[in-house]
Order: sequence, then C-alpha cells, then structure tokens
Amino acid sequence: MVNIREIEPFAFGFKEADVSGIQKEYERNYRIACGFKRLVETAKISIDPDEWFAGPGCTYPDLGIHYSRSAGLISHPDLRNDQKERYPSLADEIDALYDEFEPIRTHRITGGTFTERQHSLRRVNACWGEGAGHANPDYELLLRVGTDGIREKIALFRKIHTDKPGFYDSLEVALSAIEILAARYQALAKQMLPDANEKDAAVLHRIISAFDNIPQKQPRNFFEACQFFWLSYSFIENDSPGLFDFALGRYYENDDEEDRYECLKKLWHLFKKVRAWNLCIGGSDELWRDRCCALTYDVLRVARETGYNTPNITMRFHRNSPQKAWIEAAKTIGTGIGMPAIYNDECVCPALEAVGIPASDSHLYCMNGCNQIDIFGKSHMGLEDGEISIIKALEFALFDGECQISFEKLGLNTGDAAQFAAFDELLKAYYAQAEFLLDNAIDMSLKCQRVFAAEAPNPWHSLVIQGCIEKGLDYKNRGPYYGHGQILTEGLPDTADSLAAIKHYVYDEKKYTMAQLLDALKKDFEGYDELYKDFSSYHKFGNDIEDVDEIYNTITEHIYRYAQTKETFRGGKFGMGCSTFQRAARYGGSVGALPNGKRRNDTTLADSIGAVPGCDVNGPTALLCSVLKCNQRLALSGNVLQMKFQKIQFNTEKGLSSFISLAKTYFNMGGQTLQINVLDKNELIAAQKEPEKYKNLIVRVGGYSTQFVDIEKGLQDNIIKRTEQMM
Amino acid sequence: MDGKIFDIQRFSIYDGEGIRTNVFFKGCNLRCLWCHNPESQSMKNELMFYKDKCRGCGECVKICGSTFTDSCIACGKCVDVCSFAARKISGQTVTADEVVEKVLRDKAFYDTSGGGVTLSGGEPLLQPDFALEILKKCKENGVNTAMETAADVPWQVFEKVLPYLDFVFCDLKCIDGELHKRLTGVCNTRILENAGRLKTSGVKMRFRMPVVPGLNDGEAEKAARFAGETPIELMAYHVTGCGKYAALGREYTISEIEPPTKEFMAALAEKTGAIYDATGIN
Repeated sequence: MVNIREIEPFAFGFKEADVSGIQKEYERNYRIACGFKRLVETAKISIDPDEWFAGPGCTYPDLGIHYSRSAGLISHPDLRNDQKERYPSLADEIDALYDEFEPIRTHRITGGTFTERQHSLRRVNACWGEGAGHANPDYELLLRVGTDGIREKIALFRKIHTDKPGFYDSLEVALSAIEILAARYQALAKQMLPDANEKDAAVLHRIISAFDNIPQKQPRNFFEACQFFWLSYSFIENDSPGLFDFALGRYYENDDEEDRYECLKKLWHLFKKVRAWNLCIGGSDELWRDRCCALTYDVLRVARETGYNTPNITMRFHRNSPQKAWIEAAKTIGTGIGMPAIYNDECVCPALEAVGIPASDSHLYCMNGCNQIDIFGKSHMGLEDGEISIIKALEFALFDGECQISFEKLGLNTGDAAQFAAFDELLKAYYAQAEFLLDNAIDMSLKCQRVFAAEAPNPWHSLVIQGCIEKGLDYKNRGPYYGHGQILTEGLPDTADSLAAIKHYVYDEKKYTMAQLLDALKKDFEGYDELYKDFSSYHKFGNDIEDVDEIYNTITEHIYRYAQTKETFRGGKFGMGCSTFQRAARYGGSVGALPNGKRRNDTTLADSIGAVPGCDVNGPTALLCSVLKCNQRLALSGNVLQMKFQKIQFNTEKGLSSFISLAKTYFNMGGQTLQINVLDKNELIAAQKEPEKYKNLIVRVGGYSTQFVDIEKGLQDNIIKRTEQMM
Repeated sequence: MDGKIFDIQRFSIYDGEGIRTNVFFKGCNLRCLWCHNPESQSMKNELMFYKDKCRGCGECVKICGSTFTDSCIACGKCVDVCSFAARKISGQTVTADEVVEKVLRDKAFYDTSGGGVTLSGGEPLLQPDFALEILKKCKENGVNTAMETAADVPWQVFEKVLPYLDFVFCDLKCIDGELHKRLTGVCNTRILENAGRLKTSGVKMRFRMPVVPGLNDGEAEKAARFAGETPIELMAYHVTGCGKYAALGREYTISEIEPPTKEFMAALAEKTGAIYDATGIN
C-alpha cells in the first residue's frame, strides 16, 4: 500500500525539515535543501546497465510537488490531477497537501504581481517577462575538486560570512544529497551484481568502482567523468551541459580511444532520452588560444553518427580556430541536423567585456537553453527574461495603441497616425511604443526576479555556480558573479520592411496617404490591390539595399541600446538578442495586416535577425551584408541569423570551402551567430506550393542561374528527387 | 560607359575560385541548341512570361497597347501591374561603375575565399569596352577577375582585356567545323584560332565543354587533344533551362535529349583526362 509520503517525498522533506536551529531568513533555503535530500533518499532508483551511467535523469519517478530550476516551487494543478489519477485512494490527502503548498507556489505569486494591463499584453503576444530559466552549473570545477572540494569551500566561506550559518547549512544539506544518491546507486549496483549476466556485470563493476571515488574526488578516467557528470547533471533537472569539452576534455585526452568514444555515445543516448539543452564546444581562452581538443571533434562525430537533434550543439570560433574545426563543423551541419550553431568569440567576448565581464570570464561564455548567452558556471543570465514583439509596437504606433486582433487599447496613446506629417513622427510613435513594451517586459521580469529571490532559493545551483558560496548569497539572490538579463525581440526585419515601404510610398513619393494605408490594413488589403502590390513588393531587408537596411539598423540599435540602460535585480544590465524559437508564427498570428504585405491570416514572420522568409533574393552574401550593417556587439544575447543551404553546399569540396569562407567572412566582419539548416525535400515541395515565400531559393550551377520557383514543375520535381537522393 | 546585362548573381561558386559575383552580359553571337540561358542571346530586352504563375487576372491586357506578342517592345508596363510575378523583363542597361559598385560589395568574401568577379553571359566580349572598363576597375580595387567566353570575336578584343584577367574559361563546343556550325550556328575557325592563342598567351585558363549526348559527346576526345596541356572541364548537359524557352515564347528544339548520367560523364572524363565535377546539376 503506497502512502503519500512516498509519492511526494519533496513536499514532506520540505515540511518536516528541522529548522529549529536555522536562521529565520534561510528557513526556505533549508527546507528546499531538505526536500531535495528526502527526494534522493526515498525516490525509487534503478540502473539500466545498457545505459552505462547511473543517474536520476533516467529513473526518477514522475514528480508531483517539487523544485524546478525554471519555475521554483511547483505544485501545478495538472500535477495534482496526475497524482490523483495515479493514486485515487489518496485523492483527499493529495488535495490537502497541494492546498497547503498553493500559497507558496512560485508562479502563483509572480502572476499576482502583474498589472491587469500586463496580463493583457501577455495575452495578445505583445510582450512578457519572466525571472527564471536555465542555469549552467560549473561542471569543470565540480568534477575537478569533487564534493570534498566544494565542502572545503563552504567551510572556508562560512568562516568569512559568520552571519550566515543558515545559508551554508542549507548548502551542506544539498551537497550531502548528491553523495547520498551516489551511495544508493553504488549499493544498488552491488545488489544487482549476483543476478547480472556477464556483460551487465562488467558495467556494474565499473559503476561500483567509480562510486568508490566520485563524487567526492576527481574522476580518474573518462568513464568516471561521465558518471560524475551524468549524476550531477540529472540531479535536479536536465539543463544545459555548458562548456562540455572544457569541463570533460582533460579526462578524454589520454583515455583508451575506443572506450572513451563508447562512453560518449552512451552519454548521447541519455541526452536524447532526457532532451538535453545546450552543449557548447570549442572557442578560445582569454589569450585567444584555441581550446579545441580530441573531445571537441568527437562531440561533432557522435552528433553526426547518431543524428540526434539533442543536445543543441553550439560551437565557438575565433581568429585562431584551426581549419579542422571549420571543416568538421561544416560537415556536421551538412548532415542536416541543423547543428552546430556557430558563434563568434570576436563578437561575443567584447560585447560581454563592455558590460563589465573581464576577458578571463567572457571567454568562458556558452549558450544556455537555445541561444541565451551565459558565463559557464559563473552567472545567472543565460535565460529568457522576456520577449517583446516589435511588430506589435509598430501596430500600436499605427493605430494609436489599439491591438488589431482584440481591438483593445493596450499600447500607449501616441496619436492618430493619419495626422503624422513626417516619417519622423511615425518613427517617434513607434519608439515610444517599443520602449513601452520593453518597459513592461522588464517590469514583469523584475517582479519575477524579486519573487524568485525571496521565495524560491536554489541551494543546488548555489553550490555549483561560482559567486554564491563566495558571497554567501543564493543563486536567485545575486549570488552568481554575473547577473545580466536577456530580453528577446520578435519581428525586427518585418518592422523594418514595413517602415521602409511607408516612408517611400506615404512620405517620400506621397503615392498614398497614411489614412489610405490604415484603411487598407484594417480591411486586410481588400479593395486595395495596387497598394498591396506596391507595399508587398517594396525593398526588403536582407538584400543589401540601403534604405531598408538603414531603417533596420536604426530600430535595432534603438531598442538594443535602450535595454542596456535598464538594470536587472540580479546585479547586471538588460541586453537584447533575437528570438529564434518556433514562436515566430505565434507572434505573426497575433498582429493584423502589416505594411510589408503580410495579410491578417498569414502568420509569417522573420524567424531570426535575417530576412522575412523568402525575401532575401540576392543570395547569402547580400543577406550577410545587410545584417552586418548593424553593430552586433550591441547584442548581449544570441543574435542568431538563420540561413538555409542546399545539400550540395556541403557534400562537395567546393561547396564546403565556399560555405566556410562565407561564415569566416561574416565573423571577420563582426557577425555573431549563424544557424545553418540544410534544405530538405519537404521545403522544396512547400516552395512549389507557395512560390512567393521561397523566392530566395536559387538553383546554382556553372554559368547558370535561376530561381527555383521559376523552373517548371517537372524540373522542380527532378531537383526534389535529387535532393532526396543526396540525403 | 553603359552596357547591357541580364543579371548580377552574388555568391556564385561554380565559375572560378572562391566566392564570386557573376555578371551576366546580354547578347551572344552563338545559338547553341542546348543553351541554358536563352535570354542571354539577344542584345534586346525581352519579356519573359511564366505561364504557371499567371492567374488570368487580365491586368496586363488592360495596360498593354499591343497584343504583347510579336509587337512587344519590352516596355515592362505589364510587369509592373502583374501581382503574381508571372512576368519579368530580361535585360537592363547599366554603367560599368554601377556594376563595379555591386561587385565590390562582396569584396570581403572574395578576400577570404580567393574569389572575385566572373564576367559571363551571353558573350562578354561582344561589349568589349564595357567589359574592359569593369575589369580595369575591379583590378584597381584588388578584385580577382575571370571571364567565360565562347571566343568568337576578333583576337584584338582578347588582347585588350587579357591584361586585366586573372582567369579565362574558354568554351570548346566541338572541334569538327561542320558539326559546330550545325549545333551553334557559327563556324569555329576563329574560335579555335583564339583558343590556340589563349593557350600560349600566359593567362591562367581552362577549357569548358558542355557534353550533350548524341550531339557533341563524340567530340570530347578531340577537344581534349586540342586542349593538350591546358585543363579541360566536361560539363554535363542539363535541362533546367528549358523553362526559360517557354517563358520567352520560344521552342526548345532538343527536348527529346536526355541528360547524360554521372557514370557516362565520369567514364568520358576518365577516357579523355578531362575534369568533371559530378556534383553539379545534370
């Protein structure tokens, strides 16, 4: 007969923590640590010898009330119902327990701090703000010094911050939790040994032997390093592995070549199973020396061989990157897995240094989640603090703050656009609306950051992210050395295209009045065929055309610089980058018709800092030239440029070398990030159906040029067939 | 100095070293049956009409004074009113400075990749002064220069441009004079003379031969012998350009010919010692 204590171990560990000797202000920290501890003491664990490495990532039971890295204390209604369905006989007890936790559920508290208008702005996808997300624990340090070393560090700083014993007590409980977990896995392995077949027994022996050493001490080989990494990585929630080759490369270097690669493969299966986030490789140290090692290249190899789309791999490049690094990365991209995303140290490091991060740490940047920049093991910044829809700001500027989907007045009153006598007046209204959205996103984020600091401390992250132990401050409460924030943008290119067309047709040529344009937008261009044709076919960003590129540059610089005047609760500045998730359609669907020719029901929106899909018809160099007109060092978050190439770009020597030259030139000229996808068959089929969105597909062959969409159907079919064969 | 082109294509990677910008000159004195850029042949602007995209809205008929068939003057009015991109004008008059300005935009990419500009077409040497000015200005700006030519122009024209060319692609369609006339509309005496002179002129070069099965594949060995020490590249005939014939309202006369297989091309290249890149479109 199952009892509620077994199915909700965290909640009971939290409730029953003995806080009698604990300082009041650290009571929550202590309870959360005790919740962790109870969880690892009582959770059902298992080992699958085929997986090689033991860790809760694969075998934790489904959690009910628990602590989440991204959401703090959780007791979600869905989880409550799940548990009640699973254990109907305990329904009343489950309800009582969840009711007890409801008042301190983090998201309930944060939601309660937003204004009515902020809730509405979120609802119409104008902006949102958050205060928690990904973290990048310092696996390099943890593996190198072991839990013994961390314990010594706690002891040392406990003596310095004598007023905070409660803080350090909580950390010690959290630290003991991982040791308890390791000991339980070792005991389980021993228990399984007598019944194991020969193959499984060999694995179990390795696990038993590894746990004689780790997590207290430094791993002696790559197997132990992987076991240590996996145990700690999956301890709370599987997040971003961070600078993986930097943390684990030394254990890989001199190990048996076959065995170490097998370990790596096993780890990749586990990553896939838990859907790992961002793993970063390569890059330079502060003296621009290249950091690629055997593990760097084998990470690319294992990604190619497995073809898994997880973890997200990021590879860093710089002035001294060896050609081998470029070639291996390009080959991996060419398999069509969309990885690695490539980042430019020459752009990112100076940008980080400009906000006060010294070179010794700026060169430790890695990506977190998708494209948020983090300092490996030293920051609380690699998360999305919020997002703003730039096109919504334009919509508000055109319609005096009125949302064209819900028809509520949600933006600022910037006046009737039909009365704007000059383009600058429109631009001013747009700036005001964009700043208004950013102010709200930041306000929501700050509210959340404060709630998290007060209500949802995280003792585990405080152990493994530098600054917390040293300062005696929790991870959520300004502990980490760097606490910058990141707000992402949606729709900058679409807005630039829209503004350029307005400037040309309404203010320069005066072919249409603003009143006509506004009416056309309201009517989704019905009855405005000529206006539609003019606006939709006007200059588009991404073609190296001055007027529209200039507007793009102006509005990007405006919002990026404005963000940096704002400070986070965590002790840093807000910075901006570009959203690249598959949210573009959601934001595109949340605005009415746009002056760039987007119709009301069309959800198309630029999915990166590059052109609106299909609009970059002058080829990749023109797209890069357009993007490079904007100073990318202003970005404190991933300023991703997505590009698509045909398979042929990667499976010929000529194609590969020209791709590498293209990427290198982009980086030499100050570009930050490239995310490259290989066009697949389905996209070519989509191009046949919606040619207007794929005008940028060019069929290239010696002495010949044509747009894919201009070729007749039968020949398109041939090309599609060939694309399939090359996969 | 003005000239007539029909396209400038950035990031061209199959016409010379590195990343290049191809400038497609309009006008050619050959009429090769397999030509994949038929819009390059006439010096005049031409209307191209993509039937598949037309939705029959009739806007073009309203605006056009003529029936826009034989009497079309390529004024482009119908292009402006077409909402479905079913019409375009091939051909534009530009100055050499405008071309060079466009070319220089990708200078950084040339420098990283060893690329530059490639004059293509059409036949660039039918507008020798225009070509010369572009080449000179590119060289002044440190841009590597290449040219594709069918070589049917007076040698004096070559003499003018060669000092400003880093690389020449010279077409050899076939060696047999009779056959050449039948396939391209012109006899090849001057072409072969020029080709021979180019070989010894000191310019870096490569011959290029489009291989069209049943038409000129039997000439590959002779062409290779003619090339001698100079590299020769075999290029597989492909049909991707035939949609342009329809768009120009012209007939594609060799539609029954199948492109050669990769195996056929590889064997031919092996036999003749020619270069063949199997990855291109065929």
